[in-house]
Amino acid sequence: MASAAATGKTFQFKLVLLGESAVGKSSLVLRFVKGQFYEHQESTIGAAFLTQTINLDDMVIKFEIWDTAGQERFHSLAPMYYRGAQAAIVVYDITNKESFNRAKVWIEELQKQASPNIVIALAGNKNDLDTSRTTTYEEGSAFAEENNLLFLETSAKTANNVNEIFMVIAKKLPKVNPTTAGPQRAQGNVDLNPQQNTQSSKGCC
Amino acid sequence: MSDTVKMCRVIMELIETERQYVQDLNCLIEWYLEPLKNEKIDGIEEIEQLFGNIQEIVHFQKMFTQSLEAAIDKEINQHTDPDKENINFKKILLALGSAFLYYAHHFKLYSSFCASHSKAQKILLAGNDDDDADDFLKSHNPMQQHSVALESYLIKPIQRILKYPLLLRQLKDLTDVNSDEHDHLKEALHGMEAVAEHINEMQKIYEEHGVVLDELAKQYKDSNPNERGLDLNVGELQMYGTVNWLNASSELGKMKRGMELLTLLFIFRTGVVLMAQEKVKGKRKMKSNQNRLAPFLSDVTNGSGMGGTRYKTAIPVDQLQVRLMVGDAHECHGIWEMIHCGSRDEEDGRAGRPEKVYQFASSQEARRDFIKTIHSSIRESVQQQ
Repeated sequence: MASAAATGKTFQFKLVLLGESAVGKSSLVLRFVKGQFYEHQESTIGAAFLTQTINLDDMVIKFEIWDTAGQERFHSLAPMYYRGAQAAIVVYDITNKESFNRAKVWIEELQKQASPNIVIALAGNKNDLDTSRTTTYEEGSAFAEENNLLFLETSAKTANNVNEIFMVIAKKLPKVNPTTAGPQRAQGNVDLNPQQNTQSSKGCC
Repeated sequence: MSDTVKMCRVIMELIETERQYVQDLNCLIEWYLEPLKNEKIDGIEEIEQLFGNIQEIVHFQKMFTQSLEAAIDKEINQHTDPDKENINFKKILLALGSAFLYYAHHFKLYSSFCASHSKAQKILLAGNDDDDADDFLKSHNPMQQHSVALESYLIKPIQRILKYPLLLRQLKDLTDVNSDEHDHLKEALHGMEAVAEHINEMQKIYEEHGVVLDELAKQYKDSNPNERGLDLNVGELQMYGTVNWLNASSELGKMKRGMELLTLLFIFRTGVVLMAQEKVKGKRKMKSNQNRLAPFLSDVTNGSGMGGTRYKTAIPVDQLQVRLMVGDAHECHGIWEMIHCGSRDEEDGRAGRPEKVYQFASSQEARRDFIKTIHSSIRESVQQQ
């Protein structure tokens, strides 16, 4: 990790997690960031967001992950979270059909309202509970294909596909405007301004 | 992990994240909002409102934190017992629950914050061509990290307010269903969920009607520069709903064929807003005639077939009267009147504003609630003078 960080460029992305309550959003984040899983205690994170870095070829990808803990019922507040996000993971629980339907609604909303270039991944979580599944792999995968989404079934409990889903997102994200150390005056700040960002990407490529 | 250890964890998480949250709010003020005051950025006045809200929130949150700390102080902090067996959880949980119940109403000040948040974000973040705003934000976040960006500080209050129900639910689930503390926490949970619903609802109203409300407030301020102003922030909203505006034609003339009028009445602490929109007839059936801050409004106004706003006016409470129409016919149609009083003859003898009477029909219940709410706003303003 250290060697890549020393040589490679660092890219930073805002990623939000959306989905029905109790599908495992926080658990996925916790698994990815800390490698932990709590079977019984609902994993409360406390912080507004966590960060995790991964290496991709000679680049360093830094995710700032915004967990939307508990806000799904309070729909009007959601746009404040996903505004300016470059990536989103929409999570559902494979043993809860309703959560899959809810995920579809989130995706529709993101495609309409979020930044136009947002990379969206659909995660069918809890795939360790295969025996009580109510949404088949094919259903999830077909929906993802129709809507041009990344798709994986995951398990925060067994860690199955957790790192992988962040990895496929990292691969798909457009790599423009690396974060450099020190004050940055360049146009096209990734954080705040997606439109500007696209403009600058035209210029530099 | 035993339930008591879990309980301890959740309680500590509540307290620790609360302290962190207050710290973050202070950072936001010191690092962004204070310096912003000295910047010349277009629309900075709008941001001042946000600033005011945050200060209110910090002030309140400090108080709230103290009451949480007081609840656990003697019990948890002095215990070195690793199994936490001897801690009097009952006492702590009752005190925590009380803190939430006591302050639940205060948390509604977050709804003003949400509306200001939306405004500020438009000004600061969407202003592509505003180099000043851009330079300011960059100089305060040279590494361009999300975690210290203004945006991420601004989301914290939303995140926090929605976190309370989760934490309370965990605590509640760890208690015996037949215990007092269980009941207490359940009440607290309901209270905080209602707060979240309310904030969500206010945000929805702001998204739909904020532009018109802001416009009216500005108009009033411009034409009455010396007065206190009309606070039409959603945080000040007491009640809203639809009414049937009986004498609309005297203001608007005849409706176009196939169109009808949707009239909304918003009762704020300092004034009332009447907003009439044109819509295609029969496009959507009204479910109910009125509602006290309930979520039906968006269903109605989101519908297609909405024309523009045909009429809008804001009346400060000190120029307002309401009249209940008596008599059987009036009674059964729920007719009532709202009067925008004419201004008295001024010293220079200029003719003042003429009196204007708005006649409405509502359901019995709605009429009663509207009149009651308007009266209480009027009373409040008289008391303040």
